[in-house]
Amino acid sequence: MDIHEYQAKEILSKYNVPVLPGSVALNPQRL
Amino acid sequence: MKKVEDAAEKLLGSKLVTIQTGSQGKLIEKLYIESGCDIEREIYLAFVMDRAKQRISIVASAEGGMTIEELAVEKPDAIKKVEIDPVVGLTGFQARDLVFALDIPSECIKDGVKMLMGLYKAMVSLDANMIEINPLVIPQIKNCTL
Repeated sequence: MDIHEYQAKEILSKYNVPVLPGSVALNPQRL
Repeated sequence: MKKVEDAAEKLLGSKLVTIQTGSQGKLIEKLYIESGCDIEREIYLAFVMDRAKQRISIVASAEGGMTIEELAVEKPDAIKKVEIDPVVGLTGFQARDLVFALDIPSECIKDGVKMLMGLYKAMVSLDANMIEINPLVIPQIKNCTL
């Protein structure tokens, strides 16, 4: 596997692939 | 929201130990937070580079959830394969045929075909070796999602 799942989802969403909305959090205050 | 914060507080900075990380574990630095959905069914779907046949193939199974390796041994018939001619590309016919073979609900057929076409385009234009979606989820509100 070359990229992480969230990165794959970002890429595939640009190709008409339906993806659940989500985002990356680095600390609990900035979710 | 409070629940998510509490869970994030616990996870971030802690060590995650899985089969892949080994016994030492890995430090959790980032969390991916996603909205949930109610799952109706799970499907396995992958675009792979078939080196022997020198073309891209789709490997799919209506029986998701299980590991594909186990399924290949126990129920080889449950795995569908579609070979894509590199000159022609993925045809609408092949995409529809696969969507039907996977028993995807009628409300999702159009979305399913659109998604397969998109994945093929992604595979070719990104020069990818593999795109694996496991599981591909059919939610209870019927529009297909990963």
